[in-house]
Amino acid sequence: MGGPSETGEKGPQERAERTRQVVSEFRSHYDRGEAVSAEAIVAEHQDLMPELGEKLKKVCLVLNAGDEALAQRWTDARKRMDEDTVSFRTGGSSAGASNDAAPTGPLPNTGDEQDLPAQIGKYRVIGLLASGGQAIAYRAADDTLRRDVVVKVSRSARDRAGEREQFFKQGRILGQLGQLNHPNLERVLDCGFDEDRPFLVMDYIGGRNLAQYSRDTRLSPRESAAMVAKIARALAAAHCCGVIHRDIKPHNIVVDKGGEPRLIDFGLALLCDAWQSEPIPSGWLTGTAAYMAPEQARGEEVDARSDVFGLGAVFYFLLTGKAPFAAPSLLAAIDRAKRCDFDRQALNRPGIGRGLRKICLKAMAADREDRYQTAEALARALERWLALRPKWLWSAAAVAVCLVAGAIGVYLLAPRGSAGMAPGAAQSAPPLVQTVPAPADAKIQVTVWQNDAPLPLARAIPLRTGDDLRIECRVPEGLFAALFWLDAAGQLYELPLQVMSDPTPQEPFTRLVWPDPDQANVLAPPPGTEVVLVCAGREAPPSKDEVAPLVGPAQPWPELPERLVVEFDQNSACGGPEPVARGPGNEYRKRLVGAVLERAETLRRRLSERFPVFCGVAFPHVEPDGPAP
Amino acid sequence: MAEDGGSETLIEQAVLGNRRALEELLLDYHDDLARDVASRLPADLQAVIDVDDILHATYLKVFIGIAHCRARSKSAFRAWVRTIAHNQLADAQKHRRHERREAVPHGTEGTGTADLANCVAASGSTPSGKLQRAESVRAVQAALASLPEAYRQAIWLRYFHGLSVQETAAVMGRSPGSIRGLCQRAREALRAILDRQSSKKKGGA
Repeated sequence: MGGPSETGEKGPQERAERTRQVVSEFRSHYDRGEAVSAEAIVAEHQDLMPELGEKLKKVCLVLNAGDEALAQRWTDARKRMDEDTVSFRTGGSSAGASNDAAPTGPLPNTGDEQDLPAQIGKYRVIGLLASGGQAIAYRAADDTLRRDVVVKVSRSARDRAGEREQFFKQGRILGQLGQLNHPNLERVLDCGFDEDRPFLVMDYIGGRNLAQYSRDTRLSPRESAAMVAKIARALAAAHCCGVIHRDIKPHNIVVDKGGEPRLIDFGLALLCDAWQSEPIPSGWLTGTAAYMAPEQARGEEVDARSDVFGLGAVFYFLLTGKAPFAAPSLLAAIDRAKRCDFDRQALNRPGIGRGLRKICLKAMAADREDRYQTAEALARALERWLALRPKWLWSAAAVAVCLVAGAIGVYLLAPRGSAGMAPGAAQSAPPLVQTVPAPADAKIQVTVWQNDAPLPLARAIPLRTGDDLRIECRVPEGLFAALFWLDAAGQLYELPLQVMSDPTPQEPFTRLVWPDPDQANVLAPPPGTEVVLVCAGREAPPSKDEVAPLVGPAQPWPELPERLVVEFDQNSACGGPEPVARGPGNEYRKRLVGAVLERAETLRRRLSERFPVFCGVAFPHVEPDGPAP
Repeated sequence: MAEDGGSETLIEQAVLGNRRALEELLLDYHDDLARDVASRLPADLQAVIDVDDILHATYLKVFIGIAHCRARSKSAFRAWVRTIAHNQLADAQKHRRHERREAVPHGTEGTGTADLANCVAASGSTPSGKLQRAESVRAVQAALASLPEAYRQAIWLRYFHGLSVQETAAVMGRSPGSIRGLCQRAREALRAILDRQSSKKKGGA
């Protein structure tokens, strides 16, 4: 145990012994917590190099690992001790003195939602927005800039050396994202520490998340594609900054009041080190299982293509109304995600064209090599699809309305002023065309708008709650028409018609539409048989009071088979004596559907006694979860 | 503490939280393990993956998971460590693209920290301070070391490794009731030591 031998001549055995001694001394110093410099030791014992260097390196490797493990474990240990006893937390009169850096100080209260903090950093807390497993989101006010912000505070304290630095480093990356000023990206405004807990500050975006939004306003596939394309562009921008979202789902896309989608919650995904209380293997369960890429569910490395999958899954949700890996339990959802097991058949719905189906399935390929390799590629594919699909139908309708409005202002004023809708003029004004006697057929066309393209009713049935309906009708020139809706509960409504185009010599009909082309009309519950009627009178548009007695008591119509539409008019369509039942594929089929046809025929007879021209259509309406077409 | 004694005793002590014992075991195995890892490293990855990084990550896992080690013989212990190392190697190969080479400290010691970003954060290690323990780690280590053996074991198993009272009792060969009492006394003792340390520091400053 004496000092190192001073003899100049050293045998290999002696060298080894001395090396051992030096290393042992070094460890003793280290264990006592004294600062020791390897450089100094090496400089002092040059004669023992390189063996000494090797040995020291080995010892350092082991000692450092031990220290790191201790540091990692200490936070948890402290927490467990806190939990295990209240006395540990509050006991000891010196609790106040040890409040600062003392390792035994109780952990900051990690997120008790009940007591709202008054202030986080410089932000005044207004209310609680959401409380998740890893973080709590508050709505807060930035009093200096007089704006509302969202402050997200981690539930776990990050007080070890280096952690703050890392948090700020990642915060800076998020700040760069904000500087992009991308209209579809959430901006991170600030980050900091509230005591030991890291927090992020983001724009407060009033609006609904995409899940709510799509429930309230069922998006057509075309609108869905446009929305996903925007998010894909935003995502591509984020990927360019080297940020992977990891948790793309409808809840992380907020649609603001202008209908503009914004991708939010980058913070949680990126700063998972900061939010997680335990160090976790890369990628494991940082996302939501129902939309998770298979590789992420398996706990493998996550890259930009995992986000592409997530966005594909969002697109799937918008198109089909369900999450791809929805399951009763988290584990079951993860299991489905791992196997990439989702219902591909659900995409085979009318209105979802082959093009969109292909795009969606490619984005959601199980193997990431088969996916769009970048979010930009996905955006391009969607944009290309959108560009190729004609939007002219809508534009044409809008232009027609404008033209009509400009040229014959009375057309627009009259329908609004009168109870019924007259294609000609207001009731008080003399009819513009009164001399056309021939009661040509009126025609009613119910259209379900998908991809901004009309899908005939017969192709879209059964309609589902949330479907976007347009009703267009064609009424012979000189007649006054009104539109009525007999809903599934048996209630009668009158709907204001809008003139789309006026009669021309080639086409002596007035075209009317409901609702306004720029408004959506979403089919509301309850499900059942819906009936739409257009009735036209010679002097004035029929009123609801006129029609109600003919329709009979407010009773729901009998249920229709799912794939059947019943049409009728004053001639009972196509000149036949019976109402016509029209099925899919534009095949006209005369078929008795018992009770419905009977009821339709009764109505038809009554209406024909009162109005020269009318037509109606009855169609089935089911709940979205009803049987697939 | 446990300089001598057979490997079996060392392993037993290591599982019970004797850090020095575990260090001895790892130092003893280090050279063989380093050779084994190096031999498994594909030639094309030798430039990007540092054997020391793998060993560092392995040791970290060993220190964190030692309470769960069921090995009771030297060969079984080595097999356990080797398995961890092989897993680390496989992970490193998978993640090599994302490895932060710049995070590896330079200097003669060269202990890498490439495994998990968390490790970097946790260690608070800088190239120059590599051999100097972080203040808090030192304080905790010293406090733990000064605890009576049974206290230290109880704290180590129950709180550092999150074992339940029953599990702790099984490992320490005591009844759950006695473990509860032991844990409480151990906590109080640790608390007292740490409080004393911090007030001494304050007084000294």
